[in-house]
Amino acid sequence: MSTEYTEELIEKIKKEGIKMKPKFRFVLKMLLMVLGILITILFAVYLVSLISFISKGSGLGLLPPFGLRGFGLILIGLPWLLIGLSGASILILQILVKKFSFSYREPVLYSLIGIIIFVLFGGMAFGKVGLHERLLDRVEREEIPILREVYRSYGPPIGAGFNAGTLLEIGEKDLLVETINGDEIRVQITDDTHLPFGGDFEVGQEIVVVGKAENGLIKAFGIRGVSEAERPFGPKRRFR
Amino acid sequence: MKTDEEIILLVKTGDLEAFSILVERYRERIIRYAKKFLIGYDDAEDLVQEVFIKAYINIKGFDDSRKFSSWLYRIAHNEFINAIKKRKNEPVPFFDPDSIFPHPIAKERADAEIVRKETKKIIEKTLDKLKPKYREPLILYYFEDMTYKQIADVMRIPISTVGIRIKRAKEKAKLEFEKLNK
Repeated sequence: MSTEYTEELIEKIKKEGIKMKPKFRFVLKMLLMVLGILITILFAVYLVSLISFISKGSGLGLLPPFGLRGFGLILIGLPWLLIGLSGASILILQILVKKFSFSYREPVLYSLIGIIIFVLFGGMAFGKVGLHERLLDRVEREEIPILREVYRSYGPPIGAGFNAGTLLEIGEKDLLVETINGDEIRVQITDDTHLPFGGDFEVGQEIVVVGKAENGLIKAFGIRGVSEAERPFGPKRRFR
Repeated sequence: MKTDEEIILLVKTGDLEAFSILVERYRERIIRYAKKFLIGYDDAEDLVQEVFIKAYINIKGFDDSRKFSSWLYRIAHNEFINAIKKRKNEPVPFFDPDSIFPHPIAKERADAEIVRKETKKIIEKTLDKLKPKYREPLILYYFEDMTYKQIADVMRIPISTVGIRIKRAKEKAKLEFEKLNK
């Protein structure tokens, strides 16, 4: 038996012609949500693998043996815009998955950690595919101008004290190096110069020198050699 | 007697009579929830009517594998929270830090009947002194007999956050009750 309240409500629905929303709208909304999540995951994974590719390509991975000064250069050289974008996409993912019970029933920290781990591992796996190397090749052949800025805007933090090049001459207390820009520069070795892997260098060897260049001379804070396997962008490439 | 889910199948075909059965079933519960949560609101019953209308409009989006009551309470929660936000009399934070970290101490446990009755009495007298974020889980737990998981589904917050809010809300209610009796 309906009460007056219920009758009034049903009457209102009839009188105002209130209609149920069709099922396809809910299905479409869910599809868009899932699509949004997938696109954001792909974007975040791509960004993480790109950050890793650019960092490696900039030679930042060669700097930790130089201690605090090396880490300082890493901080300067990291692609912060890309890191910010990947952080933003992780936050968007967090907001999107919060609509699902498996996520909102648990503390935010859990889903956030889950997303970060997923994106990091996804980014590492994505990096193994070799897509960035192929894209970089095509960018260098001017085939994809739209990606030029993405792949060519980043490089080693040269102005901040990162120098790399090929050893031309070995003197008693100095080295002559042809830098990656094609300039010749003299590197002064002092008693304070850090040589984390020793001082046995050979002419023709690629080296990294930490220290600011002034008037064609670097008073070296640290010097290390670069092996074939450590060379940024793989054995066939040089620093850029 | 037909289950809610069987009735919903009929409502989805356009059967308004079937919808009136659902309204009858849940009318008193939702009104009770509204009156306890929206203290001092003259239009609480109008808001409840709005809840049922929204349920009717969106019923084809109801997932048959879930409980209708949780779905309906979720609609009511949204409607009531929006009403509180519009009035701007009480704070409704956009984000609660309690939902970030787990709270292992906040486990659900069944109180003895006598303790539960006593707690309900205290809560009833102090509800108007509590913030919405504390008032709501207390109402759903003590007056609507929901589990922490059901409350989490209604409020879309972590289960452990439900636990910690109920715990804090009870402590606050007890303090307010002691103040009242001084």
